[in-house]
Amino acid sequence: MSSGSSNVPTTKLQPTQKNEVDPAQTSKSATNPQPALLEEDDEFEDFPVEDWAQEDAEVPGGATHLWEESWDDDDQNEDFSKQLKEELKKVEATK
Amino acid sequence: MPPLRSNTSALDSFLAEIIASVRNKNGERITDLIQLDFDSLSPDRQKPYADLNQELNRNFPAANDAGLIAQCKKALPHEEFGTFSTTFSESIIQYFRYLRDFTTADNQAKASKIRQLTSQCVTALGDSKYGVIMIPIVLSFSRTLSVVATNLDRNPALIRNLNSNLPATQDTEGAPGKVSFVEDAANVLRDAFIKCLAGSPGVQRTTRPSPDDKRVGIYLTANSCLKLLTQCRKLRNAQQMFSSIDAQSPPLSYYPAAQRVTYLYYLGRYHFANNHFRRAQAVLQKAYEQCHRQAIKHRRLILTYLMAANICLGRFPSAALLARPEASEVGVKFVPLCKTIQSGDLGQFHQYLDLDSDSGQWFLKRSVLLQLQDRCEMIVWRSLIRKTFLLSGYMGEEKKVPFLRLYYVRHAASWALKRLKGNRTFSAEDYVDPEFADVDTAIIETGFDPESGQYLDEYIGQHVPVVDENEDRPTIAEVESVVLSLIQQGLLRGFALHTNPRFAIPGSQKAGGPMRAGFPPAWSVIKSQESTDAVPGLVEEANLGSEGGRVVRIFGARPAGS
Repeated sequence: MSSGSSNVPTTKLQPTQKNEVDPAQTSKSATNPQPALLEEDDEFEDFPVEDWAQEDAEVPGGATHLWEESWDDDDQNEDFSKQLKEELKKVEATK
Repeated sequence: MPPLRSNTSALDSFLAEIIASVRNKNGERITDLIQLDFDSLSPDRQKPYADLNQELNRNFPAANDAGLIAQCKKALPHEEFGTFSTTFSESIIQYFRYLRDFTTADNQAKASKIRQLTSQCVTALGDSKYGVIMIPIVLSFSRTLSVVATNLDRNPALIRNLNSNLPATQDTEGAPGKVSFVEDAANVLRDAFIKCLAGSPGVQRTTRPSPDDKRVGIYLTANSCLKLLTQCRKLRNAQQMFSSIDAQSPPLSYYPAAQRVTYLYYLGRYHFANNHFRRAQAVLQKAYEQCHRQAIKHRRLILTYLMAANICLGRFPSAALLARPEASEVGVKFVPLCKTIQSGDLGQFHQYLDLDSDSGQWFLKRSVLLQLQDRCEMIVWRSLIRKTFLLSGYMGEEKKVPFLRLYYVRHAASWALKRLKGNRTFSAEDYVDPEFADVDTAIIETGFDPESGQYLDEYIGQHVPVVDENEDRPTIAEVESVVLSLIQQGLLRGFALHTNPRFAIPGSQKAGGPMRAGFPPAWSVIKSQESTDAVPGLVEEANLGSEGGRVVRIFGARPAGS
């Protein structure tokens, strides 16, 4: 994926106009499901379109700097650090 | 469906149209004819099916099933269609039964019939001459079956009833027992996948599958099957499918984007569940990059596992990634975890991933909790030791090696763990399985000796329960063990001394100070230790030999001398 590309979408995610059984519809009539007990949010649903060009997948910024590899925190004023500092002084005192 | 002539029966016309399509090898037409979801059709398209339903109930009710069988078999003569005559007529019979009974059948019966119908169509798909006709039919039914089974799984009451109608089968691990409807449906789809993967005789692996090549359905059927295996939490059963894909499938890049992204998502989840975080990260990153930018929900799901895999590998989402719309909901859960890992706050880490906490439940529901608990704890320890070094370590002078007394680490860890204890409702160390809840009382009463497993009368009343001295955890031995483990994993660079326990960092001056020398970034360490071999289950053109043979791959192999 290239970075910073400003691509105009060529494929909009519109439902496929196919003459085949729409599974979502079928399930509705075939099983008449009760209200779902588990959340449907976590289901990886079928995509409404079958194919798209790679530029339709690209977003501004691309895949550059999505992850922080060096995240060590030397900030001693952060809450946990400050408290830890006080705690470690107690060890000093008992030496 | 064509308008039915008034002087012939609806069934005859319907059958004639299907037979003509078989002769023309027009599977798309048959797929269009054998509708399962009549409600979704326009009223004028619904009518022929209503007519057929009435005619079937009138002429071939369940009591006259034999008549229906005879009628269908007659229409598909063996002389003309060979073995396909049997398998396809069975499919058509199943379809007519569905059509006949769907107005009166309950949800379970309908689902069961769709399963049987799909299974029969998969059998017909195996026909060497006419099987190719079944490709669009099987793909269409596979999707339907997958959705029907998923919806049933969400309603346990229906599944229980349905199970009683299932044939007694064996599960995939060979243990006898009942298989849930979802798993049973997954098995049907796995059969479809195998037939698609086998392809057509004489077709080279590296050729792009044409619409009349069964291989066109490899990833569609695999995805439907993987969806169900994920649903019934048996994704591990997909191992054989991934091996088969490695051995036989054309490159994934030959397939449409929706199939690629869906497949990569499930493959990533499979590797994540099996603690192969580098593999999971590699394929989920591909899924994320290829997913349509408007498919926010799909991107969010991919990102959930992509973030989890990266965090296990010691890499955190950047501000740029977190600013994306698909990251908002997921980021809220992962960012506090990253901050905790960064700070080294062991207590907060355990609390955040506690099974009884809201955050713990959120991760558990997405099947990433155990991996995060297990893999990130060592990175938290690394941060804590680093922070302790920064505050209390001896930074070294010329010819004097920097070091940190491990008593500081012990104190820091003990304090961090105890600090939040008041808020904690549960800890792994405190947990006692209900079966062992009153074991001390039982030992005192019965004289049971846990060492030998025997009951000894002289032990009765003698047992003194061990008082857990949690206050002193971790012990110095545990801290030493953690430090040695981190050194062994490469997350700490230096050595440990046992007498007067210390962690020392030699060569720090050359390396730019003890912090840089002793605490290499977790990601670079973990990444350098992970194999960079191709990911099992992912077929890429570059991995296939020129003759399109098997993927050459030596798992777990390291370069000579390493």
